[in-house]
Amino acid sequence: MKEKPTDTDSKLWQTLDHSFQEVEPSPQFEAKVLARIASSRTGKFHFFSQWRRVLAVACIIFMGAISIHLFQDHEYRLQEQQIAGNYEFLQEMEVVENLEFLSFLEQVTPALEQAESEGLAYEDELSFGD
Amino acid sequence: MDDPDVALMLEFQKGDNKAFSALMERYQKPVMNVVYRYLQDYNAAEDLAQETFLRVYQQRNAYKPTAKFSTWLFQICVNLCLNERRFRSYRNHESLNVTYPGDDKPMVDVADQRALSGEQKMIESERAALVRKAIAELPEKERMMILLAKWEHMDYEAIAEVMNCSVLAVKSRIFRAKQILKNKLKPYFLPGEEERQVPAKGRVIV
Repeated sequence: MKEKPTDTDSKLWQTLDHSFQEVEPSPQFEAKVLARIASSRTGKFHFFSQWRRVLAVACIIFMGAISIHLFQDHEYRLQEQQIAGNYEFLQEMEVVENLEFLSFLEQVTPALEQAESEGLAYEDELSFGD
Repeated sequence: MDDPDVALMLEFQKGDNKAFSALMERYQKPVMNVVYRYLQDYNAAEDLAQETFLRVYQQRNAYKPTAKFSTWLFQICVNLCLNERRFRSYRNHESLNVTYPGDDKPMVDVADQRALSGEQKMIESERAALVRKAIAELPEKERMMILLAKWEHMDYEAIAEVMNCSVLAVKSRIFRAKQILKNKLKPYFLPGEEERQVPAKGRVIV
């Protein structure tokens, strides 16, 4: 699809005509291309650039693995601490509960003794407490 | 297969390296000239033209015979040129071949001056340098489209295919490029303007 050029367009085109002389490729052009092809197939640069890529990926994987390991270790330690803390807490709770029970016993013992001495059944006295 | 280039490319895909040599023989000059006109740097032009054929070799299996070989080849070439230009602008690189304000002569004189007198030679050389400068100052894509249209005689469809854009975009960009060139080169192509002064130099052309 060519548009019909206007008069100024053709004059502009004519003005551009002599601005560039055609250049010739050097006589070794084809040889240089073939050399590039050969070096791209077996070239050391290509080889090393591949290995650089492999090394970079390996480094990233290694760093990732270390990060995951450290994170998991940290999580494990936290869990351990939590378990230990819970255990201590439970132990403390047990002690508290025991103390409460003792104080309860202390409170009810005189009443029990009194009830026993008065000949009331042990169960009746307990149900009285409810 | 009517297109001999496509036939050669298919031969090359089958492993015939002579077909590749034949294609290179046929297209090395057009490719080299496109790059040279775009970058205005002979060494870079040869380097990128070689790189273009290297890419053709490496990507030979990607070629589908549905497209013209020349279109595919120029696609590779144009992409390399645009990348090179971006790289150069990023590195703030300027070619030695570009004329600078205040220079009387371009470093490489490209006009055919054999049949011209001394003064005419100077005028032609100056005109060619200003035209090259005006082309070099066009935006990247506009410049490439003008080069493909003017020197490679490509139509809008082919340019659109090479530049990977719509035909409408090609039309509008070429129109814009022409407007820019017309404004810059007005004294050189409008009737009656040739006798006037060269704006950049202030020299009277007789």
